[in-house]
Order: sequence, then structure tokens, then C-alpha cells
Amino acid sequence: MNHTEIIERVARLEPVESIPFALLSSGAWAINRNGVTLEQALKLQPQVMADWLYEGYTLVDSDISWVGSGYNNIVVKAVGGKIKWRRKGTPDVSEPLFKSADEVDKLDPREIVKDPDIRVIYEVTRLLVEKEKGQRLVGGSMWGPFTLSGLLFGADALMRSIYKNREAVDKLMRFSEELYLAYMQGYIDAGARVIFMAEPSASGDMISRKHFQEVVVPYIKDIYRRLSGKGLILGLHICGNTHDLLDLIAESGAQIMSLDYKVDLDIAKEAFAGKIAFSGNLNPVNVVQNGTEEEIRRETLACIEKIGTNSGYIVMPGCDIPPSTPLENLQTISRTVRTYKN
Amino acid sequence: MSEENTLYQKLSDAVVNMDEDAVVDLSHEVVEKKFDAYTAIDKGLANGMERAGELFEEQEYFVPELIVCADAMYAGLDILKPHIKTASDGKKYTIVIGVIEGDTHDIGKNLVKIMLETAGFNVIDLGRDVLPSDFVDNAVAHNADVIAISTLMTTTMAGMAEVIDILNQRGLPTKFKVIVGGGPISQAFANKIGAAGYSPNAAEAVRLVRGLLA
Repeated sequence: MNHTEIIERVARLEPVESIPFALLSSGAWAINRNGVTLEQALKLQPQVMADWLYEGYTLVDSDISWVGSGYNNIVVKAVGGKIKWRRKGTPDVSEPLFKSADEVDKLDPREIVKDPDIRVIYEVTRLLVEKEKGQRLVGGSMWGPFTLSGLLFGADALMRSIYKNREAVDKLMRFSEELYLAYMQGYIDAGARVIFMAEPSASGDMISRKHFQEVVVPYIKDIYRRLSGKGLILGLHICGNTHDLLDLIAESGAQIMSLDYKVDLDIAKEAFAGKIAFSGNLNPVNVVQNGTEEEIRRETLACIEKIGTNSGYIVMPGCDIPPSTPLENLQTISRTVRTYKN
Repeated sequence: MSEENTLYQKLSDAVVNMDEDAVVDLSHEVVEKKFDAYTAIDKGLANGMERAGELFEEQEYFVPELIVCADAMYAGLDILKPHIKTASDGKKYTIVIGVIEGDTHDIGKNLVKIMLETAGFNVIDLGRDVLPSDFVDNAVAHNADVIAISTLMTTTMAGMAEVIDILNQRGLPTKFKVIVGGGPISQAFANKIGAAGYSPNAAEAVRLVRGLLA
């Protein structure tokens, strides 16, 4: 079974011979390790980035390779926002773009596909898909509508508006939904088939279950509905504590839920059994980046032994990994997974 | 309960209930009845924020709730502050706070700032993406007592250690209490870099600072 088949089967909750392992995103890691910043990488020939991504995910034996990872905030730049590139790691949004939700009326989300940097990423996607020759699925990810709205409007302002101006929130969410779909369509057209959404702002560390249900769920459900039936594997990642949201996530339309280290895998397994696949949840800093070989092995085995095999489960770090994570640590995880005997 | 204390209780309740209109009306009432503005802030507004902070710790309140409680609290503060007769008894401590260089996530830092200000501390907010040297320069310039550093990202944690290094290099190892917080931060990390303290959330930050300055 090649990487593609394993992931396809897990997403359909079908039995697999061995436990899948994949990195989550980790584009900054894959690119920075070549001594180049994310900003510089966009200026190189797209084949160079495609080769680096292929090499990184192959060296760690990841069952999914990712493209565009680390570049999420490029979408904010594409609609006119300001981002700041970093020597290492991912660019930040410098300041909110909108003072009022009504400003979205002036913008057409579909225009972002003309952004030169986004076009490079789509080209890299095409080249990476070509290189994978169907053996491994290529994944793309972008902020979901709630997180995007926070970046465009200001996170504090968005949170406040949940109470004081719900109409503004809906307006921003509708716009951000279109932005997400317009951006991801380029990946889909280029051959990426694993399509993820990252919603850190919607975590149980940020908003209540009530607001998650009222404000976030309708839009992520709509996105997954619009992406269904295209032969894609749809995923969701929410950082932090999502214990209270698992049942809602199981009904959202996501096929894979990527869980962070704060979530108890036993509880997740019970909530998701027979409904959706899930992944996680090694602590990216304490274990994956800083752990000893023994610690990493132990934590990886703990995950596997909690879930068992054939449970729609993929071993993954709980979140994106720091760019300076040692390659050996990631190989320890994959080696532990690949050599596991029931 | 006396009329005065009833009013303060109502003020506190109004903050917890995110009722800005009630906070404004009650604050005006404090002024009209010539009750002590500082006590109203302390027992009313600050008490309400403290209760909101506890609800946040208990995961009953979340970020939107704390922000709207804070809006109500600040609305009351605007009315009562001009009527404070005496400066708070004892020294007013100063805290320099910011999000470390390379990071722009500031909701957590803003919540800590709100809680510290409500508790009576003078807070100098350096904003986000703050150079380690700027933390030190501002702490010196403002004669601060505490430097509070926040980050949400693992890639920027090292900047916190750099602040402490700079303090040591400038011969100021114990002049300021350096406290750290944020998603990837832990007590273990604080110990490792030689910080004076770590707080897992905004409400706890106030207790931490009070404890360090006692």
C-alpha cells in the first residue's frame, strides 16, 4: 500500500495494514532547513521549492506532503493587507485591514488568484503533484473563516463583535468563506487532494462552545459541503483544547480532525469512532522538537497504544512544528510508527 | 449591607454581566451620591473583573466575554477616575508588558493588561513584535518593577531568554521581575531561562505579580 492508498483508506475509515504517519503542514520546517526564508523561497524557480518539499516529507517518511504551508497570511496580503516576513518561520499580519465589516463589499475574493506569490505556490503545487506520481497525496491548508476574519478585522474586534455586532461577524464570515474557497481552488486545480482548514481562533481556549456552534460551525459546514463530491479529503485543524467541541466537529463535514496535544486521545477516539478519522497529537515543542529519542519513542507508542490500529487514526504532531526541529526527531517518530507490531 | 456597599456590589455584578449601560448608570450614581470613587473602582469595577477572570479560569467565560466585561469596566473607569480624591495608598507599581519580537498574537497580552490595570497597576503596553532590548530600555525609562513578556509561538520563545540576557549584560539581573506567559510557555521554561515567574492565564497573572512584589 502506498502513501496515497493508506490515507484514502483511513479517511474512509477502512482498515489499513499499518498505522499512517504524517507531518501536519510543516512547510516552514521543510523550507528553512535549506537555509532559505519563506520570502526568499518564493523568488526561486518553483521547481526548487517543490524539490525541497518533496525531499523534506520523504526524509521523514510522511504519508502526506504539503504545499503552501507557512504561507497562510499571504491571503491577507493579496486582499491588500500588510504582512511582515521573518528570517525564520512564517510571516505575520502587521495590523488589521478592515475598520468596518462593510469594507468587504469593495473586494472580490476571487481576485486573489492573480497575486504573484499565490501563483507561484499554485505552480509549486502542480510540480509537487507531478513529482509524487500518485504515490503520495499533496495537501494544502488555509485559515478557516473565523481565523481569517480575525486577521482581517482584528481578533479583539471580532471577539467583541460576537456580542455587540453579530451582523458584522456574519458579513466577515461570508467574505472569509469565499476567500478560503477561492484560494483553495487553485490548489485543487493544481492537483492537491488533501484540503485542510486551520481554525486556531475557534479553539476552546478562545471561544465558548455556544459561540463555536452559532458563529463558526455554519460556515465551516458550508465550506465542506461546497467541497464535497470532488474526490477530495477534507480536514480540520483546531489548536488547543477542543474537548467540548468534538461532537460538533464530527458533524461538520470534515473527514479528518487534526487534534492538538491538549486533547485526550481516549476521549477523541470515543467521540469520533465510526464517524470521522482523526490525527495527532504529539506535543510539538516539548516532545517533537526538544524530546530525547527515548521520550519521542515513548510518546509515539503511547498515542498508538491508546488508539489501537484500524481506528481511523493517523499519527501526527499536535500542531505545526518549529522550523528548527531536528530531522532525527521526526525520523524517530516515523521509525517508531513503521516498526510497530501489534 | 449599607447603601454604599450595595452600590459597589451592583457595580461588580454589572461588570460580570457585561452590562455596560448599568455600569455607566451606577458609576454616575457613585459620583452623585459623593461616595468614594477609588473604593467604587476597587470594590465594584476591579472586583467584577476579578470575578470575570475566575470565570475565565473555570472555562465559563472566554475571550469575547472578558473583552465585553472589560469594555463595561473601562466605561465605568472613565466616569470614576476623575473623581479619585487620593492616589492609591502605598506605592503604585509599574509593569512593562508586550508580545515578544516575531509574534503579533496579542489577545492574551491584552487580557493580562486589563486585569493588571484593573488591579491598580500602572501598565506600559509596548504592543506586539517588541525587540528584547526595547523591553529593557522601556523598563529602565519608566522605572518599572515588572517586565511581562508574552508569546503564542514556539519560534519566538527564545526572545524571552534574550531579555534576561540583556538585563544580565547591563548589570541589572535583579532590578526587574521578569514574568512570562503564553501558549507554549510553562513553569519549566520560566525556570530554565531564569524568569521570576510564569502565569498560565490573565487572572493568575495578577496573583503572580502581587506575590512577587509583596
